[in-house]
This record gives sequence, C-alpha cells and structure tokens, in this order.
Amino acid sequence: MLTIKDFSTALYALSKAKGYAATVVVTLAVTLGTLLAAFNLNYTILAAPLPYMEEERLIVSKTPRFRDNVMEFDYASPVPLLQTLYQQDKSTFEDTALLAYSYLAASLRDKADTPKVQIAYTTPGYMRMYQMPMLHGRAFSTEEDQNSNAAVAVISERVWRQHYSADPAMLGKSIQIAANQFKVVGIAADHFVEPRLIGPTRINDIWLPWDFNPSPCTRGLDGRSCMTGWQFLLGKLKSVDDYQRVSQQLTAELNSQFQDATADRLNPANLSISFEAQPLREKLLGDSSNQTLWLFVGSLVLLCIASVNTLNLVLSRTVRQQRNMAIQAALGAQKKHVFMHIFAEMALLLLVALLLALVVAQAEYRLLQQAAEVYLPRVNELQLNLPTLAFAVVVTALLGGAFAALVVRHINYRMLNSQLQSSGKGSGLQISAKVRRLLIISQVTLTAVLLVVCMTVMQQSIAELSQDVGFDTKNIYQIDIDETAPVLTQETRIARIQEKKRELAEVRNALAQHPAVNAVSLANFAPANFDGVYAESSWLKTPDDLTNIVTARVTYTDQHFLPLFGIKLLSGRNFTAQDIHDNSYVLIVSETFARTTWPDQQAVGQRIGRAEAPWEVIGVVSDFNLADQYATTEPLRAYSVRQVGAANTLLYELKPGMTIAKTELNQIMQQVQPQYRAAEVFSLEDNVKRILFAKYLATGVTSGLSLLTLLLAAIGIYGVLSYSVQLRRFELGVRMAIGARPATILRQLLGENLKPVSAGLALAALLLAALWLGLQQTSLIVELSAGGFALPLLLIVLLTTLTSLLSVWGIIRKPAIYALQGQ
Amino acid sequence: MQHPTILMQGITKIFATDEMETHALRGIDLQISSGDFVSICGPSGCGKSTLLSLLGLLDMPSGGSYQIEGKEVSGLSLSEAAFIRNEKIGFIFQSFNLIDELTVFDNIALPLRYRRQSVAKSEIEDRVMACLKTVDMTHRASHRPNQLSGGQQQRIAIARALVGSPALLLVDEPTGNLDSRNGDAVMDMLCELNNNGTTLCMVTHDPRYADMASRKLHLLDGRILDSDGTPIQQHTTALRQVAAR
Repeated sequence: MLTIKDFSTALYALSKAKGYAATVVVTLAVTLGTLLAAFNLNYTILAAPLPYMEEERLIVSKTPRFRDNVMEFDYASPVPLLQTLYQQDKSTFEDTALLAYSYLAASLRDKADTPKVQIAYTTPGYMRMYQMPMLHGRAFSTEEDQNSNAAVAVISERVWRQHYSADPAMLGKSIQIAANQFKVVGIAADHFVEPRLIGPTRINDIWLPWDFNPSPCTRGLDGRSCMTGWQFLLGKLKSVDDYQRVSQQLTAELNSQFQDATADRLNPANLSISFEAQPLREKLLGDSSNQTLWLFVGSLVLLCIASVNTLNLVLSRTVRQQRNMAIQAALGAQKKHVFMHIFAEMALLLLVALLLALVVAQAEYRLLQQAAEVYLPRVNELQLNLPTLAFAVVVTALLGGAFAALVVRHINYRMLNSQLQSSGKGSGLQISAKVRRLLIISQVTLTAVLLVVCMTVMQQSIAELSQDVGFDTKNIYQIDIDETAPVLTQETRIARIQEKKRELAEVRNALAQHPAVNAVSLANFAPANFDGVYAESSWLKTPDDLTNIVTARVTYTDQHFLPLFGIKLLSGRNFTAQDIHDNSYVLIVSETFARTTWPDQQAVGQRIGRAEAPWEVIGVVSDFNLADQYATTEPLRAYSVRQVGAANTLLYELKPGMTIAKTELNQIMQQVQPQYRAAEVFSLEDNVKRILFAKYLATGVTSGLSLLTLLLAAIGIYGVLSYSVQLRRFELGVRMAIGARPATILRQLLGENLKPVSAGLALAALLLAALWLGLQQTSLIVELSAGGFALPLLLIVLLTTLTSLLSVWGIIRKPAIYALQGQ
Repeated sequence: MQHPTILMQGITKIFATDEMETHALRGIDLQISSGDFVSICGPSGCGKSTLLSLLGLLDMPSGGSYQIEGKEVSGLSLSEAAFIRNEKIGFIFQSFNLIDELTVFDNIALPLRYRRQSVAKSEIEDRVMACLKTVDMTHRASHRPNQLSGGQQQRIAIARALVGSPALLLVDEPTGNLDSRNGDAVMDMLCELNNNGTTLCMVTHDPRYADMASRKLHLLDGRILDSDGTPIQQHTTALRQVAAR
C-alpha cells in the first residue's frame, strides 16, 4: 500500500525530473481531456436525460404522407387536422400543445432599428410541458389558448437585455410584431433549454399565442401548400408505453379526416397520412451521434498514442532508476517495494494529468459551444457531470493499472540482484528489443491510421473550400423583409401574392435608384441560406405518368437574379420582364437537374408538369459547389418567376466601397411601401462563410489533430529510438572505433528503425482497409486520394529519419571515445 | 623518403569543464616506425588510455601535430578520421568489444564493410577466413560472441583488427580480462604478428608483457619518461629536425 512517505519521496524525485513529469502530464492531460470532451458530448447526445421532467413521455408529431403506401414526404404539415386533434382530443395525452415556427422574417417594430427576432407560436401546454422558467412574469395561461386571440407575449431574457436594456418595468408593456401590439406577460429565463425541434440553428426570441401564426395553412391539408413554416402537435403521453398505441390511434383518426378532406381531389384514393408519436429525444438528436462517435474514436486513438508514449517514458525512467532499485533489492526489498516508488510517481502524475484533463475538457466544451452549437444538438448543455467524472476516473485508473502491469512485466526483478556487480556496459536492466519494436510498431500504426483519416477529411474539406461556390458574393447583401400583411386565407392568398409582386417590384426599383447600389433582385431565398431553409417543388416528368416525379429546390425570382450573382447561363435564355408580367410557366434549371432528368437530350425546350399547365425549360445554368447540411451532393435546382410575389428577400449588390445603413434601407422601403421593414441585412459573403464554417472547422480540427498526432508520435518514436541508442552507445562507439563514419552509423540506424516503422505502416494499411470496408456500409462519403495516403506515409518516414538523426546526433557528432566511455 | 608510421610532436590533451582544466597529456613527442612493437606503461590516470585514443583517432588532441604515414591527422573531421581509422588502424580492446548481435564472421568483416570503396563480397570472405585462420578460429565463424570464451573472443577481436591490413595495431590491455594462460596465448599471438611485420602499440599494466615489446615507454602525469625518469621531450630536438626534413 502506498504511504504518504512514498508520495513525498515521489514528489521530490519528480521535482528533480521536471521535463519527464511535464511531458507525461501534458501529453496525458491534452489527450485525456479531448477524450473526456468527446465522451461527454456523446453522453449528452446519446444518454443524458433531457432537461425536462418525465422527458420519456414527451412526443412530437411526425406526419409522413404516403402514395400507394410508399412514403412521399417524411414531413407533411396537416395543420387544420392537427388543430382539430388539439381541440377535440383531450383524452389521449396528459398534456398537449401546438407549436409553429415561421421562416418569414419578423422584427421588433417598436424599435427604431427593427431588429430581427425569431418567433414561436404556441399554446400554454408548451410552457407547461417544457417547464419554461420565468425570470419575471408568467407563462401563457389557459385563457391565452387557441382561439383566445389574446395579444400577449413571452420574450427571452436575451431580447429583454439586448433591446429593452433589461427594463425592470417591461412586464405589462407592449412590443410590436408585424401590425400587432403584444403585452409582455413574461420574460423567459436565460437558462431555459429550448427544445430545438427543427435543428440546432433555430433559437427563438419571442413566444406568441398560436392564433397569430402567420401561416396557419388554411389551404392544403397535406401541408404542401403550407410553405412558410413548421407546425407540430406536442404531447405528453400518459404512460411511457403509449408510443405505439397513440400512433396507431391517431393515425386512424388523422387519416380518416385526411381522406374526408381530400376526397374531392385528383386521384386521392392512393394518398394516406400517418401520425407517429416521435419521442422528443429522437426528434432532437436525430442521427447526430454518427458524427460525434467518430470524434470519440479519434480521441481514443489519440489517447492510445499518448499512452504508448507515456509507457515508454515510464519504462525508460524505471530503467534509469535501476541502481537505486538494485540497492533496494540487495538490501532484501521485495518486488512490490522495489516498484512502489515508480507507482507512487505514476499515481501523482496521473492525478495531476486527470485534474488538468478536466480543465482541458472544460475549455473544449467552450470551444464546441462556440464552434458547433448550430451543428450539434445539446452542445450548449455541455458541462462537467458525474458520468464524465466517473469515466475520467475509470480511464485514468485503467491507464495507471496498465502502466503498472507493463512496468512490472518488462522490468526483470531477478536481474536487479546482479546489477551492483555489473559493469553497466550494455548488460544492465533493459527494456527488451522486442518491447521497443512493439512500442514503435503500435505508435506508427496508430499514428498512420489517425493521420490518414485526418488528412483525408482535411483534403476533402480543403478541396471543397478552395473551389468556386458557383455564384458571386462580393458586395452582395440580403434583406429579410418584414411586412405586416394580414394573415393569408384561402380566399385572399392569390390576390395578395399578385399585390405583393407589384409592391416588391416598386421596392426593388426604389432601391436600384440608390447611388450606392449596382443591381437588385427579388427572391424567396438567396443561393446561400445559412439556416438551410429552401423551397422545394415537384413536377411530373411526363404528364401521364404520376409516378415519375422530379423534385428540385426552387427559387422564385426575377430576371435580375442570374446576372446579380453571375450564375452562368449554359444554354437557353434568362427570364424577361414579360415572363414576370405574364406569370409564365417557364423554368430555368441547373446542370444537375438537366443531366438527371434528360440525360440524352437537350433540356431547353423540354416540358414538364401537368398537361393542362406545362412548364417549359427555357435555360440551363451552372451548378453550385456549396454542399449544406441537407444535401451532401449538389441537389437539383430550378428557378421560376411564378410566385415571385411570395419572395421575402431583397438581394442587392453595392458598388465597391459603398455602404447603406439599415435605417436608410428602412426609409427607402417605407417611402414606397409603409408596411415594409428590413428585419435583417447580412452579407452573402459572410453567409457563405457561415455555411462553410463546418468545412473550416473540419479543416482546423483535422489540422490540429494531425499536428498533435505528429507531435505525440515524434515524442514517442524519439523516446524509443533515443533509449535504444543509449543502450547501444558502446556498440556504436566500437563501430566508430573500427572505422564507421557518422553517416554510416546514421544510415545503419535508419535502416534498422525503418523495419518496425514499415511493419507499423503495413498494420495501419490493414486497419485502414478494414475501416474503409466498414465505411462502405454507412452513409458517409469518403473520397480517397493518393495524397491522403502518401503524405502521412512520407511524414512518418520523415519523422523516423529526423528522430533517428536526433537520437544518435549526440553520439556521432563527437569523437568515438565519448561513446566508448559512455559519455 | 619513407615516413614513420606515427609521428607525434608536442601533443597535448586538456579536458576542460566550467570549473577546471585537466591536462591529461602535456606535450607528447612520439615516433613509431613500421615494424615497431611499442609498449606504454604507467600508473592509473597517467594518460595511457588518452594517448591510445589520440593515436587511434578516437579523440582529437588539444594541441600539437600528429602524422600517420606522413599525413597530418590532428585536425581531421569526424568522417575523415573514421576513414583513416578504418584503413590505417586496427584496435584490440581490453573487453574485446565484439558486437553480440553479429556472428564471428560478421564481426570480423565489419571494418571491410565500412571501407570508403566497397569491398567485393568474395574478397571480404577470403580476408575474413584468412584472419580466422591466423587466429585459429575458422571453426567458430558462424558462432555468436557470447558462445565463446574470453580468450577466444580476444582472438576474434585480433582477427577483426587485422582484417583491414592496418599500418598500426593499437592494443589496449589485451590481457586485462583474461586468465594467465589465455593472456600468454594472446601475447604470443601479438608477438608473432609483430615478427611478421605488423606495427604494434600496446598499453599494459603488466610489466611482464610490456617487456615483450621492442620499445618500452613510461608515462607519468601526461608525459613520456626516459628510462632514468626524465621527461623525454627535453631530448627531442633531433627528432623534430628529422621530422622537419
């Protein structure tokens, strides 16, 4: 048993070997810290309880639509049916709520700078089920439920502080959203962990009653015409075993209503809809663990490399202490006594490394929260927790146990007794050549695997970052328009879109007159939309075949869009003012769209869609090179002038060196249309950078990981080689004495060292081949390249050469007598 | 004119640390001609091993001139010194210094493998076998050093020293690790080599073996003494003049 005396002796010994202690502690702390961060991330995503009471009973509606029993859309939004369910079914759930997000821009109209805010429209059950904590005031009451038309609002603490200077008298005051005044009844505390149902990017600022939802989808039961947001029925099951029963029951109810409502539609018989009670956890986390598990595996490999290094350092230190141990052995010490001080040192080092690792992990949580909050769910909840602490202790204990076992196994206690009589010339206590070779082989194998993986990812990311995105972004800005139009109904929708088309054209023309502006266009979405929102449309490829459908991302825009972004027209023509005026059924499609749909024919001139209103392809434009979170490869894209009245962004290019303030933009828009405001203005260049941030992050992380791996490998390989050279110092002296030149010695050592390195590389190749075969079974797309393999190989050989040179440099740069005398 | 095999003039060696300087050799003048058998004796710490290291170019002098067969070697690079050592000098160490991982054959072949001009495999084989024959160890060619007795190991070390046909054989306490029977055998072998024309310079503690040399030098406090105990460098003017010519 280790005593305090053992620890104080170990502490003194370590104070005399600061370099050794620092190397072990830093190596283990950085890699263990990274592993802990990766573990905690995975634990939080996969296993940690959600911060809601009885979270296992919370569900989110998923309503896929089927045609001929084959799923057509995984997310349909039958809002009227969900509303009916909410109103009528009070027995299925313990609690229910409606929740809608709109992607239409909204701003705080009561503030001069009309800051953009994200709004959720909901019912009181949402705040009950998710236990929304209030900093001040209250949540929605039952009197503010659906159909109450109560104009009240709950605002976030961030909005309260940022836009209302944390006014203590804010409760009871009004804020203006669109044309409505809302009385603030509550301020949600900052620590409210909002369930991000449409992904980590969407964070709401204001909660309004359901009745003010601007897109209630009064038309279109299947949600396909409900194009301006997401709607969910949220529920709390009476029992955790109710998922299946509730899904079956509500599918029957929902589908029955759906069939009734769509009975008069074209070919409705083969359409159906289902209700899935999707567990909240599944909805929030999706398949994000796929990415985080890889991070964990990478961190584990890194820790393995660091552990091999540390083991080598510990073994070398043990060997250096052989004389002390031999004296102890000569005095009758048992094996456990002899190794006790090594264990005491190890325990101290591991304890410090563990504490430092927790600090490193904490720093990495902050880094993850800064960098990946919008990419990974629940990252903002990362903090030290009991499971992570337990994991840290277990890993550290395992490392300590493994080091101790290996030290005892590889240091020959029996030899100690003869040490005091030994001349010390190469016959002393040693780590065997076999162990040294194994250390190098394992080091090289792990390093090569990690480097190849890192460099493949890095190369892929760099290739994507360095290519032209396919459209211009320089000096181009986007305005998200906030307009206070009345809520659309089935009756007003078409007329309003026509009216809005005219209004938007006036606003566009007014902005185009500004001396700082080069060009302006209208569109529903810019080519680069950071939040990933895009419109999608489907056409029948041939009028008589209802099963042959082509679906593409669609941009509703005008004739100025393609020139503004410099999107190359490969064939055909651009839109004309006449097309817009006539609301023509004309399409411009992307290269991928054309190639996929008409592989052997010219796309221009082709007609798609229903026979009574066919769309004519008038042009083909180049693709983009900007993969986003929804499409890893270039999706099909189409451009249309129909529904340009539904556009909600103004896109403009400034002349070089010119700027326009948001207030000025508001004035320009107000002069033309008083109800229009700029909710948000942002640079397309910045937006592209934000979209590419994941690639920048991947490049940064893999570069960092590669450097760390190389550094650890360099330390490890140098440690082993240096130790080998020390053991062979006398032998090398003999070789030099009989005429071996420094270069000859170096060449010989290099040849010898490259043997285990080659074995390690061969083993790495096998592991990589297995990994590659494994990846073929997943959805991950990995592009292999010669560089991704050759560069790590070259780096490892170079590393071996340099470490070989470094390890023997102290011998070959001096006359042979120094090596012979063991100096 | 034929140059002496070894010509040292005013050789000094100082080992310096931050705090002190140790004068290991204080102006050594030494000439060894082809076919000589010189023994160097003296008490521990007198500089014998340092002198042998300098003679073998294992270390470089702090001052003075050192020529091997007329070529100045005191300021050579490590690489050049290695070449000279390989071609002109053979070493026999007290502790044999055979490489455990190599067979007897490969140990002996090692100097030939370090040659500036690579030596043909067949030539290496011939020369190694000839040397093994010289030391009567042909039957042990494929053994490892740790399978041999001390005396046998020293004979292998002699073979390794001879294989490169060096101009000078430097011998450091060749019998120090051997019993008297094996020691005598090794000394007989060295005498025989000398009789056959090999130049030898041997450091030894044993006066019996030192007397077997044709010239006997005494070293004390870094200086070579004459037989009456006077430092020999006071009488070396004539020698320097010879060297100057």
